[in-house]
Amino acid sequence: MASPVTMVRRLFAFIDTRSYFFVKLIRAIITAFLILVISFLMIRSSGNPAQIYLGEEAMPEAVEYFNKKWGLDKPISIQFVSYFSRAIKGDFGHSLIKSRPVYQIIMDRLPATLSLMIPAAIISIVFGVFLGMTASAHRKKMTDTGILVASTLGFSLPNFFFGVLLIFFFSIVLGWLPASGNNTISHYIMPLIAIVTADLAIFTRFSRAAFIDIYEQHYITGFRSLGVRESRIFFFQALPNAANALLTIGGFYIGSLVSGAIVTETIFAWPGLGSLLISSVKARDFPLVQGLILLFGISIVVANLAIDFLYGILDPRIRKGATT
Amino acid sequence: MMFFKRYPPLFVFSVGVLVFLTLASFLPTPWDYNHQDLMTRFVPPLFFGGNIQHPLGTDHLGRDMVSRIMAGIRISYFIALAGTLVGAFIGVVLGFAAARFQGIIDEIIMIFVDIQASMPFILIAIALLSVVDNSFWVIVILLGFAGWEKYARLTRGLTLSAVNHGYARAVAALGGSQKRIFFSHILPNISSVLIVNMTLNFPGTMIAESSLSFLGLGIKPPMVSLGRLLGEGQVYLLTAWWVTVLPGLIIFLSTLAMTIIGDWVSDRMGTE
Repeated sequence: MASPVTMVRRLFAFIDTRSYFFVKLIRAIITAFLILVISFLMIRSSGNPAQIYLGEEAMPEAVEYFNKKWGLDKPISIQFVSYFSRAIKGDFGHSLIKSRPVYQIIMDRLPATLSLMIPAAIISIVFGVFLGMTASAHRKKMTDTGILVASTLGFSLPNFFFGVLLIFFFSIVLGWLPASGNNTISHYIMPLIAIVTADLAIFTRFSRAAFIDIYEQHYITGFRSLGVRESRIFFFQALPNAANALLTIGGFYIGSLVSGAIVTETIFAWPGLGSLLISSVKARDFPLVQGLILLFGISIVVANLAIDFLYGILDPRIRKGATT
Repeated sequence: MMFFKRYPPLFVFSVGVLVFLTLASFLPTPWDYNHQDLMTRFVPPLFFGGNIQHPLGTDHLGRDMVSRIMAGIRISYFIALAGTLVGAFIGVVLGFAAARFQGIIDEIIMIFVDIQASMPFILIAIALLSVVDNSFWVIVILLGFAGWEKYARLTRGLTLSAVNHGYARAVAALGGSQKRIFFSHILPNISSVLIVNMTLNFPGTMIAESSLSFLGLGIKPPMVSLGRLLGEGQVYLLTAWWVTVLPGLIIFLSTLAMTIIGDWVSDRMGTE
């Protein structure tokens, strides 16, 4: 039986520690760990948990019982370990205000957020790429200028102001659409428009630049001179290369989707996780805030890792190149 | 005509808008921005049935919207500017440290750059503001953290290439100190790239502050920022649209002007 040290050594000899995938994986683990530490410290620095739960005027015996029950009389390192093991199992404690487990509250609200975010992402990406492609094909003509102007406007229009304008025109002045809630299909229209506008502008600008760049490459001219059909060049050369370029902003987009959810859900009183986060911050419901921050943070880390892996798989230059 | 060839009309207009709004926000007003008068609640703007005393109307406490918007511009612009500078400072220092010391320090700084780049600003801000009081300078520093990683990445890359090939090595060979190499040689060389990044970042910083204040987590009353005005007024959209829409229009106009200026600056610096 080899000693643990040699076993670890053998393991690391087997895994290429400088490989792209390994570096990305380690970084994701470090980030996830840091998010856990920060969320742990967050709730600790927010005050004495016993007093938060039991109120300012709690009896000393009750505080002592509470501390013992939740292990708060133990050293902070041990507390972190038990917090860590509970968090991994999805146990984030109880909400202070709704007196229900944080996990349950989050699971109740999750479908509303996903039903808004997934269509928003699909619309932004599909239409953004299409508009960017169209603009690049008609470069420096009216279509291109129009799309560019529209995307600059969409990019500068803050989503919270756009949401308010939509409510003003379509709910108050015209009375066509409901301003809050998520009961019917018509409730989805304005929140979707508000989220999609800014992201659509970003995808349009980015894919326009990507397509222009790709079509200026010499190999495209090479294919053309060999008589390869334009449609073939588009589907087998331009599109895969553009998709690859789009992946580079994938990580950024996940983050923007999350902040879009937080702002848009608040404007339209959408009963999802974003509006829950804002209301629980205002109510100082720390366990709920902590659970939501952990959930959002870890989801972003996992999504980013998936994008990095996909990027490495699709592009050998990245995989075999520098590790940073 | 030469002037407009060099500086396109849209760019001149954008600069004009920002200069006008900044200067106008410092003009004296007949009302204090927190002066309440419950007798004149929800007075509409001048051309919508209002009067000359309150050209842009009043809000739910009878406070003059012109004065409030002016105060909002002062505070929003200042915070966006200060936040951008704080971010640039933190980023340049850390980026240079990463390039200068390399090894483990470089690794640690780059891990933080990666984390910052993947986490949306609002999430970090909410995590911090749920435990720290949202005072004025906390907001400024928080906004600095919204964009430091771009400066860090730029400074690190540019410093590494300067150190590895060329002039920084020559200066070092001649006996120049590290301080001298950085301040007299590398910093002036990378400053144009940093300035481009600052102009590109500025509208984002402004929107970040506005969204925080809109959500009620930014600037605290009695202080006002444009985002705070917009957020407070949203409740009264049904009765008094101007309380929300006017500050929103100013935010939109400002970020649009800043985006146009940023695009122009980066185009120009890029081609030269």
